Amino acid sequence: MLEEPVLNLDDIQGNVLPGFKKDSQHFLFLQIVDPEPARLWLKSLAPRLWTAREVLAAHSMWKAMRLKLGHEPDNLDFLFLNCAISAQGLAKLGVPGIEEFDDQAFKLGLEERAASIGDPPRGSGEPGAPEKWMFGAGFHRPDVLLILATDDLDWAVRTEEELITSAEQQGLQLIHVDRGRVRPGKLAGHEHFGFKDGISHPAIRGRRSTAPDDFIEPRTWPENSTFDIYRSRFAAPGRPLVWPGHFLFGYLRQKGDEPESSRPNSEPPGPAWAVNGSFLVYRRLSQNVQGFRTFLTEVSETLRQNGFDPDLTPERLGALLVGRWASGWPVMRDPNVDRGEQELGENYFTFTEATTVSLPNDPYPLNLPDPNGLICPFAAHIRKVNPRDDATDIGSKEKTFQKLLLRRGITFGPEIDQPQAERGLLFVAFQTSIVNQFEFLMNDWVNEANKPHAEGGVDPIISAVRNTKISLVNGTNSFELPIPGGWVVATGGEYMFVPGIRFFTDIL
Amino acid sequence: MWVFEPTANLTDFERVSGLKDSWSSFINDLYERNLYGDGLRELQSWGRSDSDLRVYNPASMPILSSSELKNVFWSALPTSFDEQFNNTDEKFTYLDQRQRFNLQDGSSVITRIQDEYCEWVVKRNSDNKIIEVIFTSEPPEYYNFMFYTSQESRDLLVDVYRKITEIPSITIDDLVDRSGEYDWYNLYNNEFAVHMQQPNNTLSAQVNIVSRSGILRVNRLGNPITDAQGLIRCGRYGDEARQSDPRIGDAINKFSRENRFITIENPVGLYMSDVDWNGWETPDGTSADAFWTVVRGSQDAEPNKSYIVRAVYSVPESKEYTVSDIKIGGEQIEFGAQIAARINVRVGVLVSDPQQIPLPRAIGCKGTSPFSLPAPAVVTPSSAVTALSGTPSRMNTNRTRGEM
Repeated sequence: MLEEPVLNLDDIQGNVLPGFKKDSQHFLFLQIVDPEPARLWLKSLAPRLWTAREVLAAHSMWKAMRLKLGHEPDNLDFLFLNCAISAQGLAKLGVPGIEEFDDQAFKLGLEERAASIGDPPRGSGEPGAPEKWMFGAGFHRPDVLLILATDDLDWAVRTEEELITSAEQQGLQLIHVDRGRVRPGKLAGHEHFGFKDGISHPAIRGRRSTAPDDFIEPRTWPENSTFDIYRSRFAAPGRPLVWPGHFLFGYLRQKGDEPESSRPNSEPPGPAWAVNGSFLVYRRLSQNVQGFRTFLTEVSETLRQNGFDPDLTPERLGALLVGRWASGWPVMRDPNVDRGEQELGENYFTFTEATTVSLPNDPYPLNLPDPNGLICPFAAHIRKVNPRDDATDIGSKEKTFQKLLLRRGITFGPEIDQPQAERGLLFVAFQTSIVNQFEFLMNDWVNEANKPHAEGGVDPIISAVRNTKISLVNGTNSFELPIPGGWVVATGGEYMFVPGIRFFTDIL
Repeated sequence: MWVFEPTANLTDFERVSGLKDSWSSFINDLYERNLYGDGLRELQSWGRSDSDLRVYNPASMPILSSSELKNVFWSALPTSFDEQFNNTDEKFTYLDQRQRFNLQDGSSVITRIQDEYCEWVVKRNSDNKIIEVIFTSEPPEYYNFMFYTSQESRDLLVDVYRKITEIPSITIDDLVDRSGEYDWYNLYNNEFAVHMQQPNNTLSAQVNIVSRSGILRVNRLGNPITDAQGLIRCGRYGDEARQSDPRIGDAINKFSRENRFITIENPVGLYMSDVDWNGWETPDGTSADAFWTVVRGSQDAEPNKSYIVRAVYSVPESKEYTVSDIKIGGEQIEFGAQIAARINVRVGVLVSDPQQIPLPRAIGCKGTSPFSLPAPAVVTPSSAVTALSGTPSRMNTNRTRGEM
């Protein structure tokens, strides 16, 4: 095992690491109309941008207060701010060295790449095609993104107004605002189809200081030696340890199919000023909640009637498509019963192999082996985008570590009691190769019926492929389930870069 | 009588009497050598027998009636060189050109280096624009076979070369090396990708990986090895750095562990299955797949039924633009590797239902000294009448088949 590097937490922006995790996150997309004042304005933002160390400290304080009070603190809040710039924006600002990035996806931008990740082709006029987007295509491609986050919606709105006014006085023009907000009450953390989201995140390898065990991502396995088999590859149940070079420029990446080892001189290619930065994928995804629910209701009725499964509920059908029950409880651990929200065990499972050792205080059944997709369908969303211990079309499970993303998305839009309103997900993810991470997941796994599992079907939730089929199995019964698709439609976005803070002070 | 069809059901051999039968014998020999040779020998060195094999030669044992076609898919774009390059253009430049096979050995062959059972050659015009990319998944054995079988088949070889290259002046002398042996690296194969030439892109490798990955393995503690990486390292089949080899081995071993019988689909081969056309844009809006021509083998709307072994991507002159003017994901096509990244390759195997017989017994890793092995931990539910009992003549070769 190689020593994990010390990450420069004073330079890395805090939404990359550890993530803002706030109830309100506003995304302000701006275009540069006058580069020189815009450059000065962006430079002046530097002291206001929250670093990784500051956000970690804020989270620690908030957690400490919650522990002390026994409930969430009412009067402790922060307003985090981060900034990203697109390739087009960097060019307008005259920043040298953009061509040193290897990632063509970043350099070309999302609009050019949209069709290759499954969106309808430009000019087709179909929902999801770039010309239908609210921003991110044509004359509405953003140069700058400001991300502000707080639990206090009013504070977010006030700050948003202040930032827009200030920016528009200094060479920038607002083109779009997305206001993300977690869903109310017990639905917090659930996306609009109803499923708990953001459960499974990779854990970045790295330390806060030179102290040997001062890990940024805590290692939470029980001390019992039974769990030693997991320690070198996982920070916690279901949280693979990934070398920081897959998320941050300036750090080493994994060596081949050996997740425990980094490869010398494997820092992601890019200009010197990219160190401590990360590529940001932003996708504004509109969800047809009513359409999805109607589908689950109608199809589960059909499958009950035709004898596939006399007890199939819409909830269980949804769980089979996602791979988790609405509560987040994994189908692999309970294909027939939703155990409700169980943070301890909800990410403790594998697909191919059985899990054999229970976590202390986790009373529920462990997963059985499912190498053939009989318990959790191969097409299930969570098995498509994170096949865990499954071998895939790219080889052994060890290679999957290099494909993972740091996801920071948040829901937007009101509840379904306002049926005419739009709702969905503001998908945000960080990585150092959009081509080999986000786009790979979309092109090769989400939209491909034969990858990562042969004849597994496309991802029924987020694939843009229409009128496809996936296989469902119940005992000896199998059914080719028609998937009309189209419940998730892209309505905007861009590929951007979130530089280290020093970029704003020293390079701009 | 069982007949192994020519790869991709190609019809060349029909032009020479007896050649199809000889090909069938040739594939049978591949099985005998890799399965009942290498594979069985290793089992026997651990005190096991052919009752511990679940991969079988369909010429020796009839295909089980319950068998279903299962596929393994992967991308034609190699990943095994990824770590040598920090820049995609450099990597694609390397992949597009022939390279020395073993960089450490200055005398090793210079070959197409593409190692995912699909090789390609890029043709450019005087402006360095790509006018054609030729893809092949044809095994070198098919051509070796024509060269070495008979004078008639050797004539056929020349004819196939002439047809593929559209160069009628090719003679047998153009295809041999100084010793008079068939040369995989002859000028025309180098330039027209008549067949695969990377030394490991062979049918023999395919049969070997399938045969040997079907053997169950345990580590020194007697614990089963069941993951793709562990299996390929333990069984020492194929190349761990490829996408295909560990994935094929993983799938075959899983079927064996489930007590299923496995054989490669007939015709034996590795096939391009489909192309992902999402995000392609041509200058005049013509659908980009219009320029994809399957020359040998067949393409089916269902990728698992495609048997493509030769295909060409080129734009007709009448279009007045080139392949390089076409974009994929907004990028102009500057390398054949960009197209390869959109091509899937597959191998198909026929897999039976789980059998009601004792599970195959595992052995340790290849190259290790045999150690005491535990009895199989799990046996499928016993049945008074097992699927194979009463059919001792399934395997009809002369070799000892153990107690199955």
